[in-house]
Amino acid sequence: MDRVVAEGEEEVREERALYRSCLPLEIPCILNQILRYLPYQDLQSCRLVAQQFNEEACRVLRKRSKIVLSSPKRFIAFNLEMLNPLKENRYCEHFQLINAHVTTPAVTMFLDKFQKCIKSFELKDAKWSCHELTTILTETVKNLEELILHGAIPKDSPRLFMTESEEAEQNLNPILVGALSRPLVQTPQKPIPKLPNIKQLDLQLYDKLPDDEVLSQFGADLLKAAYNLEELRSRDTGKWRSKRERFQRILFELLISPEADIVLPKLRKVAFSLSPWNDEQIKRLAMKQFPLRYLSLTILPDISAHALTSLLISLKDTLTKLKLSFTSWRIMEFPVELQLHKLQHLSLDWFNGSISFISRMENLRTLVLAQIDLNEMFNESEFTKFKRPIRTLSSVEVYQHSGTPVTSSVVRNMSTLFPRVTTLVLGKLDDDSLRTVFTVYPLLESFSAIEGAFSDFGVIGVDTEIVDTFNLDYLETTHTFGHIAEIQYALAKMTLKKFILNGIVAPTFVPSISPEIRDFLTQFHDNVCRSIISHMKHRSSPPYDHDLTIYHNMRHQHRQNLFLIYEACMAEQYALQGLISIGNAI
Amino acid sequence: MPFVNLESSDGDLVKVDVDVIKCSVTINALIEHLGLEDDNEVVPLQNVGTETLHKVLAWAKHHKDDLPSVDDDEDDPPRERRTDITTWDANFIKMEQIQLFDLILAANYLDISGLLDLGCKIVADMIKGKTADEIRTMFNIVNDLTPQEQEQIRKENEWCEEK
Repeated sequence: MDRVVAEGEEEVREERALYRSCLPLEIPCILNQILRYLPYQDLQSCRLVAQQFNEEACRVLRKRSKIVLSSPKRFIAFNLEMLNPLKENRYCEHFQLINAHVTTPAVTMFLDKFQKCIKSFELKDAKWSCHELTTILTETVKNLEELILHGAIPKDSPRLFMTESEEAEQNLNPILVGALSRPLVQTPQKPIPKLPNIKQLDLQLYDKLPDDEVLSQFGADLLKAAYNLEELRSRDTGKWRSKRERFQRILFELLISPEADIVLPKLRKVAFSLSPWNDEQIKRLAMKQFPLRYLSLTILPDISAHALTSLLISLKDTLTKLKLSFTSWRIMEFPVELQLHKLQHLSLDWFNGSISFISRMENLRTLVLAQIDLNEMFNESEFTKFKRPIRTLSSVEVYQHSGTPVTSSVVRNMSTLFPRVTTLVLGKLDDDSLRTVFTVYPLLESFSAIEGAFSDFGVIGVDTEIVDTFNLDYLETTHTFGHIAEIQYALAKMTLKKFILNGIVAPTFVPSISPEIRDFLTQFHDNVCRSIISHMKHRSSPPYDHDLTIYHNMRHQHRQNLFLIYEACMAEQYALQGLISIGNAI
Repeated sequence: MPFVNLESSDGDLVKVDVDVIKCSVTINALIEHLGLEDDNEVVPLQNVGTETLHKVLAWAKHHKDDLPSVDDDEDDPPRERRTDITTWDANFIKMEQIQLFDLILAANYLDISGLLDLGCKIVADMIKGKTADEIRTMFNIVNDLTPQEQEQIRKENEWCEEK
């Protein structure tokens, strides 16, 4: 019995020793997680380290790389060089065909050879007919998960999933041809082939847009076949803006059309802004019961708050990201009990109502407010409408339209309502409100003040004359910067945080801890030490000696000046808090 | 406040607030499985040494009020993940490579995603900008790729570009 126990213990010991002797880099899931933080070029280097590195780097690269085939020569070269596609092609699953005709021998050979590896297929300005595309989708690239079509819908045969003979028959039959021009053509008699693997569609077919009916029919054919679709995109290609908007409108109308009867039970994202004309369209979108996690809506003047609220409530169990762009000055109010309990990101453009409706959103992380009047939105009466602070909110971005500077009391109100903000973008600050930001947001890690009317006094909370005594010799390399840039660089050094003031980013900090900092700390005045200690208690964190790195970088003879600054700060409570808070988010 | 005793692989006992160590999926599961009711019960951690355990607990204590992490923004095309590290974490993670690796292994074993992420970011930073040779030297890795395989990888790298 004892022996059995001893053997068991031995096994445990061996296993323990084995585990502890093993490098994290030998455990695939850890190596994979490490590699996911690497840029593309480094991942390519990692493939050459060893088998295990190659394996895991390929897993990461697969989603990040593409192979572009833009000429017959490249097709042939690729076919010749990649001898064993099944084994070797683990490093890329996205193929982009540019300007190629899909039936040329080189393309056909490529598709036949690599059909099983192609998960994402992009036809950019390529030449194809609907019949050819149908054949490729249904017979060749059967593992396809993402389809990207860019360019124009072929004019000669705009129907997908019809055989050549059916097409020919239809082209000869004037009744059927007539049917094509009806708003939404009836389902073809032959059942539409299914493309069950396609999860993402990106349709950028804005060139030479055909009639709405033809476009609808093409979209309906594709959306009905890709019945497991999760994401529908229609990306901006940089041109044809009005055509793109028309194309997107037709796609939206198709999605909610009772006649088209599009059923997409897995559709979680429509990645372009939807512009319903009226409440009826909003209602129809709600009735479709798409499990949308992402929704972007342009709110036209005829849309009522009631209809919009009903739509949002219908999506409350899935919606995590919502963007609402208002187009009129009409005030729209949402009910305070609007409980979008999964919503993490809310973006409001030109919103003219009370923001208090967000107080019940218990998972909200990011709030973006564009073209709003902040002083109005967070004034005292609005402030009292909030039932409780939103502690989950960590990122707030505000882009104001009005020229009035943001007041300190508004900044304070915001910090009371959103006390755990770590990332802040705020425009139109003056010295007072900027200093308030540094004082009331102890957790701030990244801060961008845009179009502000503040001075050095506001930035550091210490008079410019005293700041001049800093004489930071390490700033020599940045002497072309303005004074504020130097100070913000000093701030970045001091806090390790990222500060952007009026669009100038402070250089990146390279952490360096030196015993000199500790020596310097010991020379500190008692009061300063006490305040730092009390600050530490407030944050219940270990000492932040690196926040004093700035001192380390100063010449010895200037320490006395710095000390005077701190004494001055002590005399003015706000300034001390400002410095300490800056040093914090330290 | 409930406490739990954790036993390191070196046999040392460390008493810790359950609220602090709730970030560890493994310990949560062990507590649940063992049905610990009084403060004297011991949770054995066979794969975590005392020194590493103390480090893990220091990290867990600092992050005990953190909000659960959220999914990355889905709007962005696939790219390298964000590598922001907070000031506290940057100081905490300053340690020798061998300690760092122990910490990563412990975070993996204890299933603490935030700490594992932090360790992985640091190792990724060490790899950034280095050639395959330099990476092998740094981590003492044996190259088990044949010259043919390396040639094939180089060819493949040439064909690919970033999305």
